[in-house]
Amino acid sequence: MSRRPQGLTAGLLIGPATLVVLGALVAPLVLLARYSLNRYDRTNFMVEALTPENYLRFLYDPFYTGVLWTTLWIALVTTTLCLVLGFPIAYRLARSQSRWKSAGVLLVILPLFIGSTVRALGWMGVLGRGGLLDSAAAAMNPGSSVALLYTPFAVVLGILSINLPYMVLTLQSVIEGIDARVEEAAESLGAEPSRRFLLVVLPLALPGLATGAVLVFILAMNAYATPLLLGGARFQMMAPMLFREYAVNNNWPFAAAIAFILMVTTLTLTAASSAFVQRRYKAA
Amino acid sequence: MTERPSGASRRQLLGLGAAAGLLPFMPHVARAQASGRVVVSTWGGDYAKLLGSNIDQPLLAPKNIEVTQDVGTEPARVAKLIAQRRLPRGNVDILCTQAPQAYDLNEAGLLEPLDESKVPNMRHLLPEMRNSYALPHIFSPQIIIYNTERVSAPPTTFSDLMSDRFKGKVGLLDNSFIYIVMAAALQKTGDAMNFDAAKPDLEKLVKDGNRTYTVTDAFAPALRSGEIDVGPVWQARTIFWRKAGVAVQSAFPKEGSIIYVSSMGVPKNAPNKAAAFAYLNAMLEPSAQRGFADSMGYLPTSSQATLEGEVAQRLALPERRPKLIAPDYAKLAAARDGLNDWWRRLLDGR
Repeated sequence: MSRRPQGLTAGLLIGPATLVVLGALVAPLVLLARYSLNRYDRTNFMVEALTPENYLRFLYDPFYTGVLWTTLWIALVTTTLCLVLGFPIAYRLARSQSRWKSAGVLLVILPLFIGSTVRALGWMGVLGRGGLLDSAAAAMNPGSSVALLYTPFAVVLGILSINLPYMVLTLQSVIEGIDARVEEAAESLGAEPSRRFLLVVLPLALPGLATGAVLVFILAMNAYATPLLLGGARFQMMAPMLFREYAVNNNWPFAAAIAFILMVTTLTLTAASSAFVQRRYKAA
Repeated sequence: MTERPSGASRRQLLGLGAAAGLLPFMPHVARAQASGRVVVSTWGGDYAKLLGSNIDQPLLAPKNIEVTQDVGTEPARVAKLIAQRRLPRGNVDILCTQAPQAYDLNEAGLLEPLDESKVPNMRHLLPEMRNSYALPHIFSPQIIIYNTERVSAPPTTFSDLMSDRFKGKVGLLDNSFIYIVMAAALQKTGDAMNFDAAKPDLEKLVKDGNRTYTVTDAFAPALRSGEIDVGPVWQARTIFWRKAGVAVQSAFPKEGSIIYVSSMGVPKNAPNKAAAFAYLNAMLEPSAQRGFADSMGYLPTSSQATLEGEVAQRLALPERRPKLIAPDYAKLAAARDGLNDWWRRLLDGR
């Protein structure tokens, strides 16, 4: 029996996937990068050029950098909230022996069956004027009203509700991978629950926390429907701004530059946090 | 590769002969010019459906013109048209856009000139909207919508929106802010295109805590719930929302109403121009125009398309016919990018 060299087999196996990635991701990105250096012209649409002006326009204008900052802080706040709220749920689910466990997992997954636009519309019904909260407030204290729609709070709440399941599911599988006996050992040695958590569970779950955080951070940075519908016209985030430049103003070069700035910011922060966690993990 | 000899080869000639033999069995090829397929680039939703039920099926199907719709948002469809401008043969015969966009495309040299020899029904077009590059299909005047339950004295002019009684209760639609700027300019200076004069008023409106909505459909619930009481929108919206049971009415500002025009043009590289002209002619037929008035609340652009009965009542303009003002699209085009930028920053408030 003749044996094929191992390297060749591996190459054949990953070849198709590599081709797909090259064709469907890398090539369009290269094209987008090229577009971002073109010049916009209202009548001629896009004029061939090699100019950094789209990037400079963004970076030197406090209006645009302000939108980037808003996007960053919304993403960081929602990621932190996802971690804080997601961990206890994930822990409970992972350690549960109950026959209701799968029902619990299903409850976490179910919201993912509904698109983010529909969920944002749902929140509009809850937070809007005349909505559930507003009516409840008016019923309890006649004459009062709570205006929560079109505020950063509404956007954070909307993104949180969309991203939380991703965090819970990621953390749950990581926590399930941590041997429960390790915790029992810590307990038998007299560690309080808080020490057990801080010194045993948390360090072991750290890579999973990082993965989950990166996942929800990227989702939040790119959120479109939620900020548009819950934030309203006066609240600006990167994805709706990008879409407006691309699809409403037909300014493809500037939209491409915004896309790259958003992508580079997200990738840099993601890579930095991964590197940080890895160092900590090795040290631990 | 070898050079192809010019002129028809024997094989091509044989093919032509065979095709000629088939002609009697292919009525859509054999008949005179205006037949075959016409591709209409349009918005989706109600508008596309109404094109089908008022123009395509009743008026064009009998002429053996088969209509295919290319549905998408306006900017995406325009981008496609611009991208294929150098092709000798594009793939769109009719392009539906808002009037300002049609003006831009014509300036870029992309639209076929139109006249009555191509589209006979053009002679019935309302004079305010007539031009030779894109025909107005339907229109709607800008009015001030108000909630009839909470507003006892309807506003009569745009400057009423700045008064204390409506403070914080004015709704503005982000996607038509340019028309709001025009309304303010018209009231202030008598010239709708004097954008700079309108800016202070708009800045006051926005900073007074009035509401801005990104999607048109968020406007009606806000009017219903009391989040807002008034706002400048198209008359068609009042009619549409009244149908949906919202207690609203239109007030025509005494200084006049800017009009929104939805238009149709023929790209210079349209593959089937004869059918495209037939399509334009059909869309100006009174029956087709009435269909849109009835279902969407937009007014006909053809003087032949008179409305009757209940529809006429619903769409009636006030007794003293309001001044209808079509924007100066050249001035609008020149100012648009700057206005866009100013508006974004104003909303942002940074």
